[in-house]
Amino acid sequence: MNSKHLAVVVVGLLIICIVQGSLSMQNTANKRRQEAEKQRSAVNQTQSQLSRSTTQLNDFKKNSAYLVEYLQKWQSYFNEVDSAQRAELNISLRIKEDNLVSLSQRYEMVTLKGNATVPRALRAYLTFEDNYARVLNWIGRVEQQLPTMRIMSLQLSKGTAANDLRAVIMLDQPLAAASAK
Amino acid sequence: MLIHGKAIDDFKTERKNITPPLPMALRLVPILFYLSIVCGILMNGIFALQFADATRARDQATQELSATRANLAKVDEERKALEAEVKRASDIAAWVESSRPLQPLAVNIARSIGPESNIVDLKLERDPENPAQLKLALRLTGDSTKQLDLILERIAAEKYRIYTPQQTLIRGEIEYKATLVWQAGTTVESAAVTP
Repeated sequence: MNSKHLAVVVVGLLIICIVQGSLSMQNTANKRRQEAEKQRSAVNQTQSQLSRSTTQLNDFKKNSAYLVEYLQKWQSYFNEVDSAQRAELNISLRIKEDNLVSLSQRYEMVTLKGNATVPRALRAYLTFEDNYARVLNWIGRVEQQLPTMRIMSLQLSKGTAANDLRAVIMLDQPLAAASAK
Repeated sequence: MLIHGKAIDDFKTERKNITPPLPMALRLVPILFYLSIVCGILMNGIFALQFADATRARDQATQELSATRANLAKVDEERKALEAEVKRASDIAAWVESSRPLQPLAVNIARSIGPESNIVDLKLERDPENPAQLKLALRLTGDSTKQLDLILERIAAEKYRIYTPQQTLIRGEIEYKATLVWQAGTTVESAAVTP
């Protein structure tokens, strides 16, 4: 091998280096293009998911509009009574206002099962003996004025006087969830 | 000692080539070298442009992806909030459903009592497990069978359906027990029961 051959080998090596460099550059560009395509594909997938989720949300909104409206209508009534003291006052004031003959009044806090929104209530045990109409009117008025209240038990029997009615009532007044701590 | 250049030329003898010329194929190597430089510059330029384009596209896609993911998270959050609201509404509806006023029912039963009969005891009690259901317990005296039919008519007029009725006669008194279930739809479906 003479110097010319050596020169050819060196030049050949240089050519190989140039080709290799070009191929490497092409690979880098290809990799970057693949990355871009991958990202684009992820964008398309996410956009499609967003579109599906938005459609589902809109359907859900449409289907549950009546429930949301119902909640808005009732929520303020449930929020009105936020403490046991207030609930007790609401009931005892109405007894005093109507001047009902109350034989006993007892109140206690109870935990309600199976309803996360209404976790606690003030349970009132009331016994009245008064005029038939006054007792029934009082029950009706309380049920109207305290719409969230629930009468759990109502027992009516004859009172001692002719027109008297004895009523044994157990009622639950739900308390707003914020106060249920 | 100085030797004149011309004098040296005179000493120079004819020399034969030490290295033979390269074969024709190898003589193309330098040409290939120049060509490869030119092509390399061109190709690398193209690849560099492609690389820059791909980088720009990737960055743009990354930004779009972040924005889309943010929107998706927002939609998910909105859906979760709505689900919570619907759950609250369902709970409240369940409570309201099981809190129908009892006074109209009691008054209607009391009003149905004729002069020959008497209610000894009337009890309306909600089932703790299912408060929407009412347990009716009634004791009547007097002309009780006709009276009981009248009471049941009034209960039906109040839109309650009677289940599992039990009737016993003890010393001239009728003891009647039944489960009452509201039959006119839920409060959510109808706007009949509003605060």
